[in-house]
Amino acid sequence: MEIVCVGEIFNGDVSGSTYEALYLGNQIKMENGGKLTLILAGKDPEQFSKKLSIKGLDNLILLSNPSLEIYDNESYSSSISNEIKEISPDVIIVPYTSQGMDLAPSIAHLLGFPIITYCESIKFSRKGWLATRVIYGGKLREEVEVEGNKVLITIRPGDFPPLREEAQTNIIKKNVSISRGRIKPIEIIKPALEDIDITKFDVLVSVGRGIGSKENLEIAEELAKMLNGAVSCSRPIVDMGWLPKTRQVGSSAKTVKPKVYITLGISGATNHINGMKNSNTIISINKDPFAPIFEISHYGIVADINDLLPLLLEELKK
Amino acid sequence: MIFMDIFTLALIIVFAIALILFFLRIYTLYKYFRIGRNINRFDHAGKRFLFMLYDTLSQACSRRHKNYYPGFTHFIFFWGFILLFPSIMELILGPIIGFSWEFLGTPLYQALFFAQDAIVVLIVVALAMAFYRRYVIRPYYIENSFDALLILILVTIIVITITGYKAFQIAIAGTYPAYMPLSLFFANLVRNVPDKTFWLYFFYWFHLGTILFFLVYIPYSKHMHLIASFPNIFFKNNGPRGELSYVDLEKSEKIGVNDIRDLTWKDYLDGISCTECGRCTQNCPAYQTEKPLNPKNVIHTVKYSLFHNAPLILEGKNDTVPLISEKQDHLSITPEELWACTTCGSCIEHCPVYNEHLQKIVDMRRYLVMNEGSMPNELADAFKNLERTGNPWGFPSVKRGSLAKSKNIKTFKEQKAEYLLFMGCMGAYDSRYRNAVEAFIEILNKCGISFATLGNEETCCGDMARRSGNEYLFQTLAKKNIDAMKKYGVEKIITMCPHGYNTIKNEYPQLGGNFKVYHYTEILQMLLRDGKIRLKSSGERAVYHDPCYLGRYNGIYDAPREILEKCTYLLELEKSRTESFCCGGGSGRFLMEEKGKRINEERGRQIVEKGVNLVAVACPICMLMLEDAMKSLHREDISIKDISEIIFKNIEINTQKDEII
Amino acid sequence: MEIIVLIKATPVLEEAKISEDGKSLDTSELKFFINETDTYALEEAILKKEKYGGKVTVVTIADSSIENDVNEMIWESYAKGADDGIFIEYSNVYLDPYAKAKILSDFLKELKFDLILLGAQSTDTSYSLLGQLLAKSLDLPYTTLVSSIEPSGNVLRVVRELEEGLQEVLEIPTPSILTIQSGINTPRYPPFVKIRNAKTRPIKKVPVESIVNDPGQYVKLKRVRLYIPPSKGAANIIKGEPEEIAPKVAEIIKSVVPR
Repeated sequence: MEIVCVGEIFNGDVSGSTYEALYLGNQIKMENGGKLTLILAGKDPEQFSKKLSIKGLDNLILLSNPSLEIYDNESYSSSISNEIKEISPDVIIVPYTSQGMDLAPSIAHLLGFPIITYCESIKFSRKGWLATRVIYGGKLREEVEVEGNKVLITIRPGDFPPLREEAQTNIIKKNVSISRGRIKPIEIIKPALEDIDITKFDVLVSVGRGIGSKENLEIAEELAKMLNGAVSCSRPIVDMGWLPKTRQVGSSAKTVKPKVYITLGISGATNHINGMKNSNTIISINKDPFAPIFEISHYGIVADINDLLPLLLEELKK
Repeated sequence: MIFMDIFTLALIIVFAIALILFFLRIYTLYKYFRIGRNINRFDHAGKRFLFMLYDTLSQACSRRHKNYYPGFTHFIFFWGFILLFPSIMELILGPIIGFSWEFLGTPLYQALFFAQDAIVVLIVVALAMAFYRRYVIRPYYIENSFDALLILILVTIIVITITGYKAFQIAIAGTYPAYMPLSLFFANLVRNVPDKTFWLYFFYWFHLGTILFFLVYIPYSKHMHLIASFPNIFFKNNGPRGELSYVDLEKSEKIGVNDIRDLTWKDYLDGISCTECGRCTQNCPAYQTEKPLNPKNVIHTVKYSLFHNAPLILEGKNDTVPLISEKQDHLSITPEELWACTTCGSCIEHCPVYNEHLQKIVDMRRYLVMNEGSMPNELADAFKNLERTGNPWGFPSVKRGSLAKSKNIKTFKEQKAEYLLFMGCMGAYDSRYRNAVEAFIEILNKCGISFATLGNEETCCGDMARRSGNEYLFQTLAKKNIDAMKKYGVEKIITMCPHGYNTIKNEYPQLGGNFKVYHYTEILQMLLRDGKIRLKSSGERAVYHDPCYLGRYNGIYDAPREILEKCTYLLELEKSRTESFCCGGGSGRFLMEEKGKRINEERGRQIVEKGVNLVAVACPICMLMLEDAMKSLHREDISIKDISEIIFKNIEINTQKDEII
Repeated sequence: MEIIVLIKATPVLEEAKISEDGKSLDTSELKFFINETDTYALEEAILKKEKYGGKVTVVTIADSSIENDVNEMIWESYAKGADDGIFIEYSNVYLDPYAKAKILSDFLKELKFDLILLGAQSTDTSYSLLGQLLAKSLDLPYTTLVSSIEPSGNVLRVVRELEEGLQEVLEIPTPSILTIQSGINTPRYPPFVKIRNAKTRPIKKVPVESIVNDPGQYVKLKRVRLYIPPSKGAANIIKGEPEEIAPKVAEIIKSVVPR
């Protein structure tokens, strides 16, 4: 079986989701035998050769061209598809990041592969490929099969652990020619630098809509400081303008894996959960006993944040 | 034909002019009033008339709510006008048609004049008190307008000139009527003044002129209430105070109020009946916490808007000024003011002429919500949640019956019962209020009361939706509840929350839902009186915070107290019963952000001042708001407990099977 | 600007009931509303119309059994400012994004438009795929996770939301397809009076067979099973009065947080 993963360079480095795609690719390889290939396109992908020499990865194909510096749908999809055609894989794995969401359907279209998005797991049998998908906000699962033996699947960032162990890998470097499409990338805007990087903290105190008031936000900050952690949040807090986007945890924002993740008033929308569910210990406080966050928490506390938070702070000061 | 001298001719002309000017103005006001919507307040005309007589003649407005200082002065001014009126009649009609009160017979005639002298003395005292209050004490809720000053000056002139006239009349006649002590006193002072006749005419015309000026001036001033308050009391709203108007959503062309023409003639009458006493302002919790809302301004805006726009409308012009606007002027109200109201009902409770501030505010909210979709974001979220899951927080509707189920309470679907226990959103979902509900359920069970719930078929009572202006959502929710209640043949309903109590009792009938509704404290009172439960007192000092929707709206003040007095040492807060200060959570405000001073903290301060550690509440919203307040004030040592929680600790249930102490 | 907004009817799902064949959701007791990210797309379209003029048409593909809910969705769209509403209805067939893309492309290629907007993801089946597939069928440029759209000359200047707070600016010509991220605007609350007036306006109902024969043949992602996963539940649930549980929670935190 030929397995191809499409990697991604994000903000100057290989994205975490690339390693997660490799994990799944390697799993499929172990179940079915065959070869695992990773394709990475960019301006200067060779700089990542060592990082991407990973145990389990057979081939690392690096496609370079100065014009590939900024992601652009048509140039990326055409150059990557041309490369994939030569491999003739059975399954292609693309992380459904902001780039993947844009790129994967184009690759699938160019190669004539059916595409199944947000696969939690995938199996190959005589009947073909069978994928399991998480739907209805996590309340349901569906099993989907496709005709034929070829499929492109996408995975949600954070769903799989990363495959990182270094080992020798066959590295193939290619300079590719690209064709510009109808879309013209202009620039990437980075957020204000003053803010912190929440992925670097061992303890995160994460606030959601249930935090109630801005005063409680300050108490959350105090709590985080006390624990040598940082304050992160779910999407509604950013939408309300209480915290900058750089603090947002979720599959469309930042994926975090701290040692301790404390949630305050977060209900547990799927996108958020996927950004933090691999945290070591998850402690959740919410006044709604039916909040989905409790399903993935190690400790669930049903209480009103307004009542509990100040008392909790007092107790921790002792 | 009576010989007409110049004096009488002048009198007739002046009087006629005054009357004409007066009636022209009244006619203009009548034309203005016609631009509004109609409303039927002519039912039970006899009862209405009798009530109006009672209320005005006894000056009930002065006696209510312990407003003794202005109450006294107003009582004097009112009866002063009435007692002096015969004198004015004589002064005008005497020279024209020879009218006199002498036909009453000597004792009555003399008594009348004695009363007039006495009242003049009292009027002078009242005037002094009024000037002192207005210009020395200067209460914040009284506006010292020129209008008000002018009236006081005119009254002063009237009493001085009538006295002067009578004094000179007596001096000229050379009599010594002991039944007119005041006038006699002044008469004695002026017996030797030369040219008394001149002074007699002087005072006569000064008096008459002032009176006629007053007459013409009344329909232009705040003293219009002299005339308008009578019909305003006659036409007052006799329906339950907690019943807001029904809107036919399909047939009504326009929903809500944004234009002066959307109001009714009764609303205009409110505007001109306003006496500017400021009691609504004084008792408004929003105003007291420095929100821009002032109920008096709501009424005044109606008046000014009418006076500004009615002439334009009658001329067929279109550049009218709408009632709701972001501009802060006297012709309109800002949305911020409208949303600050908690619908506590203090304004309508305290208004001496029974003005209806609240309905106008709700009608304007209806305009904003139903026509423009404009409302604070928190309300939009709450509406969305109510539409989808039947509670303002978006908790699953399939979990609404969880608490009852966990206590093995059956639903009406499973087994009919005598009473429906309506849980309400807080009762069904709030983790703190749960304790109160569980306590009450336990008491009901142990007393053998037959009750069941609607389970997941219950939805929000809709009170919050209606008061926030979302009439469609209210009717949708109410109809859903009514359908379920009717389906199971429900006749009697017990509610935990006073908001549910009020709306199911007083408003569901509009939609065909007629049930016998009890607040749970009424049931507890019944059980207490029947001897089914006995209470022993812990002697703990406590106060009871009257919820707006149980107290002011539905007059239930005593049942909770009867219960609490048996198990605590119950004290009274300064602002209790009709004067109770709102917790700040009504009409959805418990979900909304509040800027600046907080209403619940203000009430919290009043409680702290009382020096008790236990506050009894009978409403889940009050509980939520007051507990929050105690936290903000760092007085969490003060417990806020529901009545059911308090009595549960002190109860002895009288059953054959078990006695629980 | 002539804008088409694709809206999807998604249910508020509290207790899921699976049909007997184990493949579909029993929708008889469910109420359907406009998918959340689609409401942002619709609001964006209305805002553009208010600023630049033009027309907004909403199009939905849904099962005819939820017709009442779909009508309400379209009336809600009218109340917010949409000009036309089209309901492509099907029944007794399962349609995946491929089949829907085929139907929509055959239908929409007859229409004139500058822009097609839809939400980036649906709350039910969550494929995040329809917009992209449709673009391929219609051979239109597309991009996803759009947070800002501004006309710039004869192209659109579009901002995309990337991870970690980064944003990407690009220029895309029209006609094109953009999928919209949530939170980019505040969808207006449709006032009752406007909805009431909207109910008098026609909704164009188009049976799917008039567009495509046997739409089921275009399904590529066959659902073979639908199930409710076993509920895991948190390892430890703590409830009680704040005064009682605060010390417990503090202990837990102290025991897991690195010193």
